[in-house]
Amino acid sequence: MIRNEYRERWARWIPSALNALAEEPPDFPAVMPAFPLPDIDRTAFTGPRSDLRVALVSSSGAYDARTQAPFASRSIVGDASHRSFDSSLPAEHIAFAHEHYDRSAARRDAECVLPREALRRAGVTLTPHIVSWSGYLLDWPTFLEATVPQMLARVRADGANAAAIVPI
Amino acid sequence: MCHKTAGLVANIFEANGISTIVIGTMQNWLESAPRALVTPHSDAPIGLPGDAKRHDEVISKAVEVLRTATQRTLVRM
Repeated sequence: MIRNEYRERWARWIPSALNALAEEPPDFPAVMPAFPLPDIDRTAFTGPRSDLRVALVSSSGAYDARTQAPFASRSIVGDASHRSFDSSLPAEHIAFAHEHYDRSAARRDAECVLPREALRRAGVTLTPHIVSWSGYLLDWPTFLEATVPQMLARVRADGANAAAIVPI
Repeated sequence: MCHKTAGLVANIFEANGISTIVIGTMQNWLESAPRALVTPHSDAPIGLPGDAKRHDEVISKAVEVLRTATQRTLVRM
């Protein structure tokens, strides 16, 4: 088995943060300055794209309410998993599981956070699946180790060469 | 954390050959993204419900940035 230096740093941080995170609302200023950040490449840049095939990716906690479980948005460390669902799913079947933003706008008009029609009107090809996670997420080691590679694989399998990423 | 994780995802996608544009509202947390578009619409980054004209403006700008930016870029709308 391989040790994960970032997970070990995170595991040393989380016990000191649990009491503040359990408050209602969580006392983020007390704990986030010490939140351990991973060492990733922050210099990569792919350059301009002309023939865009765009994956729509969002941290809004969107999921297919007919077939998928909501994110565990009340968890003290958030939910590090992701969902993907058909880009043509009717808006009435899209729900949002995320405790840390006002979801009323997204519920009235999903285009506020999932701009499917606006992307199509802009003349780009939208890939077959929307990919989402729930952005209140503190378990970054699991997110990095398991979830982001799965999201990347979904986007690649759909033939995307670009992603529109919409955080809330 | 939403914007921070979005920046994380964007940098990893970019390092794997997928161009990215992050469309969000919190500029301080988007400055590490390869391409960022900052809008003023809290809880509705593309624009208010039903405002298709504004949605088109935001997405047109996002697409323009994807098509034309030659270096890491942050644009405010």
